[in-house]
Amino acid sequence: MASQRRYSLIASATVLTALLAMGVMQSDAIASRFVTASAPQGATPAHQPVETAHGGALSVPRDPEASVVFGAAPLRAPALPEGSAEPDARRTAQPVLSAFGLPCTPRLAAAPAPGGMVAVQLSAPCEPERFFTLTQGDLAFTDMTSVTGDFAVTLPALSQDVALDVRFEDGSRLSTALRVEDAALFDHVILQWQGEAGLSIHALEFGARYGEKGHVSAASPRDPSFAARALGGFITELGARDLNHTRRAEIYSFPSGLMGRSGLVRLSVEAEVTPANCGQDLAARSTQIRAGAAEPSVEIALAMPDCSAVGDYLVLKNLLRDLKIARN
Amino acid sequence: MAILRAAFSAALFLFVSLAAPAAAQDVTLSAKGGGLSVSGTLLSFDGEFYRVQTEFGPLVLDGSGVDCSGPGCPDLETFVARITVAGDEMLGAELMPLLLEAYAQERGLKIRRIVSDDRNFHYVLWEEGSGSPVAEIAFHLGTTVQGFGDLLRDQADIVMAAREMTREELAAAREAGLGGLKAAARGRVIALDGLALLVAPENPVQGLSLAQARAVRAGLVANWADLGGADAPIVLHALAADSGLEQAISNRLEPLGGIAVTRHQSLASLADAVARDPLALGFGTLTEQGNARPLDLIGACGRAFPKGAHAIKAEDYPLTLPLLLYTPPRRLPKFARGFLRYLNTAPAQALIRANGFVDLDAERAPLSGQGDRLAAAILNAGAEVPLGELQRMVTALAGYERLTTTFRFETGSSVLDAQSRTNVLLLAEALEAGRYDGQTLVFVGFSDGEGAAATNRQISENRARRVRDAVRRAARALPEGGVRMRTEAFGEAMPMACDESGIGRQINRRVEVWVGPKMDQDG
Repeated sequence: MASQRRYSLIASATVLTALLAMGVMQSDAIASRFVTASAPQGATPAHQPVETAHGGALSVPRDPEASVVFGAAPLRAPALPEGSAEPDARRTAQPVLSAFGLPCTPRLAAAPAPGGMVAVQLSAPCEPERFFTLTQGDLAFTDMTSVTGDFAVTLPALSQDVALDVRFEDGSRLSTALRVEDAALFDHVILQWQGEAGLSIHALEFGARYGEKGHVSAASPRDPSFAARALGGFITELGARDLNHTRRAEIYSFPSGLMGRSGLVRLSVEAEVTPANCGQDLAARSTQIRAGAAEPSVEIALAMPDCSAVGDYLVLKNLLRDLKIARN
Repeated sequence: MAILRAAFSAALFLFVSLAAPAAAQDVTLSAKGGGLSVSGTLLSFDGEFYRVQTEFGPLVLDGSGVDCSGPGCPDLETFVARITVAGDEMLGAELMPLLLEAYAQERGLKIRRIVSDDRNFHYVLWEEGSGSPVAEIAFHLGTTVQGFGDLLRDQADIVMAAREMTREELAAAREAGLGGLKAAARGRVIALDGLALLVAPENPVQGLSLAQARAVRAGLVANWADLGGADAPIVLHALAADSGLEQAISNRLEPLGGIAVTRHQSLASLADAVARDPLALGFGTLTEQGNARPLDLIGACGRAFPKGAHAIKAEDYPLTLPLLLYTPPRRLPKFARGFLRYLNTAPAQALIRANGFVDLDAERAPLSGQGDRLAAAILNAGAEVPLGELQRMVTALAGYERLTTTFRFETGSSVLDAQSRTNVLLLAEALEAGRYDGQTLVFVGFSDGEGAAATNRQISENRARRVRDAVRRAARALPEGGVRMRTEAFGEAMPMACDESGIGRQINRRVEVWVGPKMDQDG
C-alpha cells in the first residue's frame, strides 16, 4: 500500500504567479534560503548547492509577513522517491530549507491502519505552526502543524477509496489517495462544528447505560483496536481544541460488518449550555455513513436554551439515527 | 371569472358545514377583469392557490384567475412552501426526517435542520447559490391522537399515525368539515411494522399464543411459570395509554386490565427497559425491538405464525401494523405533493427497508415455497374439503407465484382494511406501469372454516371478484387486455391460521394475488 502513496502540489493561481517569479530567480542559480519570522532564535541556515531540476514552479506556500533572506550558497533539493509523484505533477527542485535546515518539500503520506483507519503524515518543514484544513469527502477539520511543520493523525476511512486533501490558509494544497479494503465493514456517524461548541456524541452499545462499559463518548473514547477485534465502536476526535474558529469533528465508528451479534447502538448528541452559546443557534453538521454509503449530510442549528441554563446539557436523542446491527 | 366561480362553488360544496369565525379581512381577491370579489383572512397560499377564510367558510381560489389586494397578500416573488408534519413519534423520530432529507437531496436542495428539542424541529431547504429558501417543513412529534387533533384543527399538512382513525374520530372529522378522510388517498400506508411481544434475550420462553398474550394483558396470567418459564412474576411494560401503538394493541389483543405496568413515552425506552430485565414482557414493535427479542406468536393449533418482511407484507403475521400518513382534504403545497409522491418510489422504499421497517414493494413466492400451507391444507382435508378440491387448487396455481400483495377485510365486514386499500392503489400503479404486461393475475379468494364449505366458496368467490374489480377501476390507464385478470375461489381449502381464534379467522378470510407466466392461456 505504501508504494501507492503519492502526493501532488497544487497552488492557487495567485500563489502560483508569485512563485513563478521566484522560479525565475532560482533558474538564475541565485543561492537562497529563507527564515520565517517565527523561526527560533539561533537557527543556523544550511548551505547546499541548488540543483535546477525540471524547471517547474515552486509551490511552497509563503507567509506574506515572513522575511526572506537570500544567502550565498546554492541549495540542494531532495531527490523525489521513485514513482512517488503523479505523472503530471510539477516536479520541483526545492531550493529552500526550513529554519531547521530541512528541505521545504511538503509531503502528505497516508497508509491503511487497523480498524478501518488511515494513518496520515503531513510534513511541511517550511510551514511551522500553520493552520491547515484536512478534508476527506464530507469531513473537514482544521489543525496546526508543529514547530517543525509536522502533523500526524489517524482517522477513519469513510469509504474504500479515500481521497485526502490538505489546504493551508494561503490556498496551497497537498493531496493523496489510497484504498482501504476494510472500510466497508464500518458504519460512521460524523458530527462537525466550528470552535468551542461543546458538542459530543454518546453511543450506548447493546443496551448499556450511562457510565457503563458500553457507553462510548469523548470521555471514554476507546480506540480502533477495539473495533478491529469486533468488540465495539470507538470515537475519533479531530481538529485543534481550544482554538476558536477552527473546524472540528467527532466521529463514532462501529464495526457493523464484523459483529457476530445483532442489536442496537443508541446514539445521542449532547451540547453543553455555555455562556458563549446560551440563547443562540449552535451550528453543526451531521453525516451518517452505513456500509460505505453516505446518507445526506445535514446542516443543523441547535437552538440553545437561554442563559439561565448555563452548565446544563441539551440532550438530543433523535438527531442521529440509532445503528441497527444485524448478525453477520 | 369562470375559474373563480368554479372554485367558489366547489369550495362552498366542500366546506359549507364549517362555521365561519369572525376574522380580520386582510385580503381581497378580485377576479381578473372585475366582477366577483371575496374578502377574508388568508389561510394559506401554496404558490398556485389561495385559501381564504371568508364568511362562507374556507374558499380555495386559483391564483392565476384573481388579483390579491390588502395587507395579507403573499409576496409572489419570494414564495416559500410552509408545511407542518405532526403526529406519531414512531414515524417522526427517524423515518420521516430521513425520507425528507433524501427527497431534498434528490431535488438538489441544501438542507438545514433547526432543532429546538427532540420533538420539535424544522427544516429549511434551499437551492445552492440562492439566498431564499424553497420550503420550510416543521415537525411536531407526539402521539397519533395529537396528530389527528392537529388535522381536525387544520394545523397540519401531513399527519403521521400508528393506527387508523376510529369511527368516532372519523365522525369528528366529518363534523369539522373534513369529509372523506378515509379515502385511501387521504390515509395512506407508507410503511409496515408488526406489533411484538418483547422479552430480554436471556428469557427462556420462545413463544406465546395470542390467547396467552390476551390473558396476560387482562391480568389473568401474572407468572412466567404459566407461560412455560420460571416461577417468577411477569413485569409488564407498555407505551403510554394515549399512544397510537398502545391503542392499536388494545384493539387487536385486549386492553390492559387493572394491573401493574410500567408505561413508557417511547418505544426506545420500552425496548431498553425490557432488554435489561429477564422477567420483563413488553408490548412494542418488531422494528423498534432494540436489544430485546420478539417472541414467536403461536396460532391456536400450535403452529408459529411466520414473521419477517414477507409475512408482514402479506399480512400473514397476525399483528401487522400499517403506519399511515393522513392529509387534509385540501390542496397541499406543491412541495408537499412532490414529497408524498416520492414516498412511493423505489429509492424511498429502499430507505424504508434500510431503516428496519417493512416496505410496500410486492414480492413473489412460488407455489413450491408454500409447503407449510399445503401441509396444513392436506391436514385440513376431509368431508368439507375433499381431495379433489385440493387437486383443483394445486393444478390451478401450478407455475404461478404468489405476490405478497394480499387483501384482507375489517373484522366482520366486507370493507378492505387500511393495508389492503393501499394495496389496491399500489397494484393498480404497478399494472399501469406495465409491470405485469402479458401476464395473468389470478385473484384467489379464501375464507375461514365457519359454516358450510359451499357457502364459504361462494363468499370467497364474491370477495375475489370485488377486489379484482376495485383494482381494475383504480388502474384507469391500463389498456384493455394488457393484463389478463381472472378469479378463483377455494373457500376454506388452504387456511393460513387455525380457525379457533377470531384473529385466525380474520387471517384466513383473504384474497391472494397469484401471477402466471407470460402468455398464459388457461382460464
